[in-house]
Amino acid sequence: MKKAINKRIIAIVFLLGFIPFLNSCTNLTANLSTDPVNVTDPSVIAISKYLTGVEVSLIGVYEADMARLSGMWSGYFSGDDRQYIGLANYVTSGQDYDGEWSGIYNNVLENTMLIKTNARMQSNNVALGIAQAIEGMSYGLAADLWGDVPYKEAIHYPAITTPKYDGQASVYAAAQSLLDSAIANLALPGTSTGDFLLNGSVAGWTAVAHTVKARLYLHTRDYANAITQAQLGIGSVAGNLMATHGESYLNTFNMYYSFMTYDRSGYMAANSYAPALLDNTKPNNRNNANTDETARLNYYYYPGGGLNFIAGAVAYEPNVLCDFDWGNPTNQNGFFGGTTSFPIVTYQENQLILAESYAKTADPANALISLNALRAYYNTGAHVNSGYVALGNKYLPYLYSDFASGGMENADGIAQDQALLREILEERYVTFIGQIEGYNDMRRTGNFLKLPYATGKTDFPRRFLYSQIEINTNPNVPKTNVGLYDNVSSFSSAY
Amino acid sequence: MLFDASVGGQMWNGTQGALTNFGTSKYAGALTTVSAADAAVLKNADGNTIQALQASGSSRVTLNSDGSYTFRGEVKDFGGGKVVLDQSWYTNAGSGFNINSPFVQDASWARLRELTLRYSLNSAAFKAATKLSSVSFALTGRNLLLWTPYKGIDPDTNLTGSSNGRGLDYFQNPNTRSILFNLTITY
Amino acid sequence: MRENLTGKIVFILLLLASTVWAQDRTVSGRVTAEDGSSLPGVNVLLKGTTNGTVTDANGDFKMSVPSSGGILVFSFIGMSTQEEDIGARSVVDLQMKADIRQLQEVVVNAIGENVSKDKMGIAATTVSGSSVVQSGEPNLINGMAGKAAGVLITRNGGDPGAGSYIQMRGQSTITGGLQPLIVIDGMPMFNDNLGSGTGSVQQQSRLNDINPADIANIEFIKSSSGAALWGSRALNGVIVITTKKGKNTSGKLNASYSGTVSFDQVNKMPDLQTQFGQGSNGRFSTGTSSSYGDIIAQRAGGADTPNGSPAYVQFPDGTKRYGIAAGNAANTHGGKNSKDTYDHTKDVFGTGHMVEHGLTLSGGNSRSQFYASYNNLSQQGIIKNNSSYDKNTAKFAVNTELTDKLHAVVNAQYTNVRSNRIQQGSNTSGLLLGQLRTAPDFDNSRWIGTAYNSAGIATVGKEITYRNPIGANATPGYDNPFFTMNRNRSFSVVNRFIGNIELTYDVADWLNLKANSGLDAYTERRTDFGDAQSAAYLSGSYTEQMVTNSQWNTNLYATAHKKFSDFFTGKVLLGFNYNNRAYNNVGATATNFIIPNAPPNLQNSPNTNRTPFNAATYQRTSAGFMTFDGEFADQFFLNMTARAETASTFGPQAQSLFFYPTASGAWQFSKLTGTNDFFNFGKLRLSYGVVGQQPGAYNNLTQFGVQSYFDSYGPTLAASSYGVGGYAISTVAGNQKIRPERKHELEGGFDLRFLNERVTVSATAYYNKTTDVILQTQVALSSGFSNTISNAGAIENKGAELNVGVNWLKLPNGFSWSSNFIWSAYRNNVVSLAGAQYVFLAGFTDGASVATQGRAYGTIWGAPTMRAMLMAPMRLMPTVSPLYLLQRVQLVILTLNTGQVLVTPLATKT
Repeated sequence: MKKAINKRIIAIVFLLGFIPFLNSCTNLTANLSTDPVNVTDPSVIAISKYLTGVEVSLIGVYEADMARLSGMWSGYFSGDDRQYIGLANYVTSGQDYDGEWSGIYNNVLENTMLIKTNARMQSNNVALGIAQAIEGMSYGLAADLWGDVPYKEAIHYPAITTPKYDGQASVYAAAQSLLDSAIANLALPGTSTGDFLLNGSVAGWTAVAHTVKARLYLHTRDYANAITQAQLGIGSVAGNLMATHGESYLNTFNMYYSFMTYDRSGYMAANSYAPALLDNTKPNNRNNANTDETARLNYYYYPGGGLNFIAGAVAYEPNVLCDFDWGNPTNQNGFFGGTTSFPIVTYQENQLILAESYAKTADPANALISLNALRAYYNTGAHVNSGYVALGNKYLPYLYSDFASGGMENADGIAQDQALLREILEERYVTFIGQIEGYNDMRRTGNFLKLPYATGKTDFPRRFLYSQIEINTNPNVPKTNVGLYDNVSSFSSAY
Repeated sequence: MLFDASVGGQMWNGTQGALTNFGTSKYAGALTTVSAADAAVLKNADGNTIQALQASGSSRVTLNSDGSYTFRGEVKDFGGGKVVLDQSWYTNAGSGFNINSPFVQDASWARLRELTLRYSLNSAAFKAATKLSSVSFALTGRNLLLWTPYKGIDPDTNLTGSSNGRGLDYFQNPNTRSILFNLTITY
Repeated sequence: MRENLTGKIVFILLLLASTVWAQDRTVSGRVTAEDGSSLPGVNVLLKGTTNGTVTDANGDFKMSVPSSGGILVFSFIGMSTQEEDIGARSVVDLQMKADIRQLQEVVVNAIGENVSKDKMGIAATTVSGSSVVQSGEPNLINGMAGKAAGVLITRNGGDPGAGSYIQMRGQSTITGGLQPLIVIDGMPMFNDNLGSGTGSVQQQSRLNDINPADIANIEFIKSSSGAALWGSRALNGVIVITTKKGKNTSGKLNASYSGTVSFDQVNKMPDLQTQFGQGSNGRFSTGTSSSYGDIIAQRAGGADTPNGSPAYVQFPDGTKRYGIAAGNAANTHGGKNSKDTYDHTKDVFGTGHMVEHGLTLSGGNSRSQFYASYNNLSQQGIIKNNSSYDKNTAKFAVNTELTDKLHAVVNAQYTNVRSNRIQQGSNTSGLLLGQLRTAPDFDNSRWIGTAYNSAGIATVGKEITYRNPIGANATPGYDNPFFTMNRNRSFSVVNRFIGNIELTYDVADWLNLKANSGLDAYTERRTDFGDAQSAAYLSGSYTEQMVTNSQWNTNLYATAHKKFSDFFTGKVLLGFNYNNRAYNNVGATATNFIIPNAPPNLQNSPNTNRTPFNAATYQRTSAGFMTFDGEFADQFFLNMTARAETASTFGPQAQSLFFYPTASGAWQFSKLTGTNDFFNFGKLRLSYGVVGQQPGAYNNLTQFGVQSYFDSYGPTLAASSYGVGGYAISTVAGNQKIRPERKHELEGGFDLRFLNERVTVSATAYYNKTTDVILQTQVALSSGFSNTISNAGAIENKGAELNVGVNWLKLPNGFSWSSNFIWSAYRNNVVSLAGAQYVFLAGFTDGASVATQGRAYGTIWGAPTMRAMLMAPMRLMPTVSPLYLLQRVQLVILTLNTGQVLVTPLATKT
């Protein structure tokens, strides 16, 4: 009996010990490298999920860091604490742009690539088209801000780990062609589930793609094409591409609002040019007999502070009023309020692209028509929260004669068409408060509006710097003429 | 009896840095008296002399009857001449929220980690009388003595637990010293 | 505790007197150990002859001796060999004494096998379980502190149950774990310290779940050469714990009870001022955050003057507090008259206490022995409320010879830990943050009251703090420490089982087989409750989570040993190791309580304020290993080990097997030089070995998750709140080629013994370097990712350890005094971070512990005083550099342990 037990035990020991060993160890550890909680297999993710994710990232790209930095450099905001004092005074380094590059290339473009791959496999042309439209916008924006950026070799990890840089002109061309493809694909069958920006509207995305094309043509000074595309672009504010927001911190807050009231209160005020330009109590403001900017001023800015700054300590604060958070009566929400939607591509911009392009192609009549169309819309008061309209809102149509020397809009007696162009650019400036496009205008027009520089500076930043991570890891980053005061190539010639 | 020492290495005394800002640290200035001549030239972080501060009506400085001036703070030379460190220094550039180097401090220590006295009853007669093998009593002290130049809590600690980052002190709960009594009965 | 030697000697003399002289005779006796237990198997030899015997199971022996008597030589492993002159006796009882040197001679290797210390080519460091018990530390890890060369143990804090950090021979990785592998009875066990951050509670170290009284010995295997049998889990060395086993007591039951009471106090606090009142610019001001106010000593004294506002707070004892007018230029004190100051280093601290009861039972016969213990520890911390640690452990071990050749050992232990801990650190609800910032003239002990506003409307149960002295503000600023202590609770319950079964089968004299399989599994339920009024959790926060962690481990091995000749003896071990680990964490957080004062309940929260979370990892390792030991001419000893390993955490595109070879050699040169009364023993050692560290689970994969867009300044959009819920690919690319980190170590040293072995010297120097250190490295953002995980870094340590033991005195009356001096130092250098400026380890954006190239690991990173600005006449003040520069910091370069001095004057004459 004892012996039998022994033998059995010996046999068990040997079996346990050496059979798996002979079988090779690797079999025992195989098939365990799959994460039990997190998704590591992209095939389980529907295109619609990526689409929502990309659109959220797109909001971040247009509304967060880059918009604030652009805004401080183009007179919309002032930097008032910590790092923002330095940034507002052009003290900046490559590290300030790591997040921006990651936002564009990692959060947006890597994921549009996944949408495109999946959409092609599933023959979902609409999703493909939306992805291409977003790609076109993003590459265009990267070219605006940095000039030469990777396009052809970008988003090919791990096959290409150090993408080559493409010239700015070719990136613009690529963006146009992506937008063309987007427009073509949007006309084909497919679904747009997950698109919350335009609720899946194929026509809406088509119009947005045209307006973005017009925007980029304007940047490359191809005014004829800009007009053509803008005519196909967003035809009314209902078609605007707006970032929507809600009442949840770290979830849906307007990112300006989150920054100014929750994350970095006191960093940014508006002791700056733009509010003074709107304020009819200030010299050289842009109010006139046909124009009352009081509503717009108060919707965008809070004169005298008192929200995140001590009342009276600042000239203006960005208007972060928001009924759920500030205990204010409804209908007082400011442009930077927590739930206020933020413009990405708009009818207003589309009209102003038309106006500027006509003006630049010696067609002041059409330029004025486009401008007055926008003013007619503004005159309804729909561009600001209705709670502010009563403060003073008037945008009567201009006559061509108003721009003649000595006219309402030409007190300093410059050439009539230049005066019209100046008014169009100035209208763009105040329309784009908080948007990157205002800073693009400043650079591409060689600061036509003579926006003031930071105190003591003799020039303004002509570009964003390349990301430090990119510089550290990619030997292809251009090294010459990429300083803060070097123009990107397409904006370097006279406007 | 176990003596134990750790020599070298520094610790970030973030606690003291913050308490400097809030003015509760003992090292955020005691009363200092300077002569009228010094008060006319010594400047604080705002660029004001002690005399000027007093003249402006600030309650930070008191003019004594003998003409000298008393203020809360200290006179220090960082290498560029004597300056006054007062509230304008401690709550701005000199606080731990702005600057770290003054609060990186030597974290060496030496301690009497253990001291045990034990008395055992285990003689044959005791065993015969009680049927027990032994009974012993012990008195143990832990961390009875600690010597350290560190200006915070016992530096044998770390804010972030057993994480890889070491030497951090920021308002964590302090260490202890203990006295123990032990009785052991063996049958 | 030592035996009463004097008593024993007296006893023997009495016996002697009672013996009868005889011409031709047998002599008998019983051999016992110091604790009185009988010693079977002791060799008894008549000196100068081959006449001898062995004691039986009861420790008894009987042998014939010449009528003239002679000398009996008693020898037994682990005991000092003793000679007894028989004289006229017919009964020679002997209590054998443990030989410290001999005891140390047998140590265990990384898988728990006995090896002879004098034959080892690496430095061995053993700490006995009794010295840990004697330390009086409720926590095992702290009890080991200062007792082993090259081992750094740092307490995480003084909270009951707070964990501790163990580091052996410097730091050998950068972002991986730095804690050594713990092996208990041949089974790896968890020593997790999960979730300690800059502002939370101090979490426990799971090694402390072991009852120190159950430990026989702790072996610190610091060298790679010794640890490599655990391959990619042994990067930081191995601590091998051997638990107590029952002894052969010939059926007698041994029982012991140990009771301990302790009293604890804070040993050191920061220095605070009590000269200046709350306020700013030399003037008193109630409610302000800082204490740059008036001079307290110059106040008028007496009660404060109310400022006339009708708002006040009424405390539970009925007293009222009104607002106080601030000081002005004419009167810096304002309405503040009282000269009372409060010592805020003491507010919530008192005397903590611990009560511990331990019971052990053991015994057995020649075939089976058992050991059982129960221990109850109940500790109240120095913080007066909600700070406690209650631990119950039960252990059972049985050894049995199932047959002559088959031996089984079963160990099982269960631990239950219940602990309350207080929030600390960078946390506005942290205990000391609010306490130490409080103005010296503010009384924190009145922490709650009914606040009446100017309209007379009451708020019941309002928190009162130095920044909100009459409860008029909505928020407390920083929590009053009494509020933190009484209202915010972090509670955890741990249930843990550790057990293993070991079977040994002696196939032949030269061959045996062993199977050791075991389980370590625990669950920890954590709850963290933040009161709705507390500063850090305004409107309330409640988190409940369950962590489960378990591992199965099996070691199977065969050992063959043979003495081929006097010149050569060889031993070979061939084995297989299989390890499976599973970790789960699931829980939820609810914030924004609907009923602020309701009991903790996850449903007391709007749906949108409830956040569930879960995480899980599964890891498996399998390996084959072998060891070879050769003894040449009884003075040269060679040990070689090899392990071939694969694990589920290795990237699929990495090679599948990784090898960890080692070799170590020892030469007992004293065998050549001879020994004398002064010089007794000399050994040189040299070893080389490779160990590793596994990549984290799933580093090979790129994850996809709910998309969040983070702005570097904080604003965040969560795609879960938009559209259909947005997903995105991670910005960190998985690495299919990820492989273990590898550490190579070279170690050399010597062991010497002098003066009849009363002085022992052991010295060791080592150099180790870890390559393939796993780091998150940056990749070009335009490639689509921002980081990848790769084997990119390198880090090295060099150090020395010296251990000098001296037996100063050993008097016949039982007085002995021995000391042990330990000195160790190391220097660490981060060799490469693959181009990264630094790697953040822990802390804050300024005031961080980081790794940075060319400096010691754990360098402190922050803003320095910028001395270049000093010389300009108008800018005498240092200004803050806009860049974060380095401090010149070496975290630890040297530890010096001036050893243990045992004074044991235990004789009690009766």
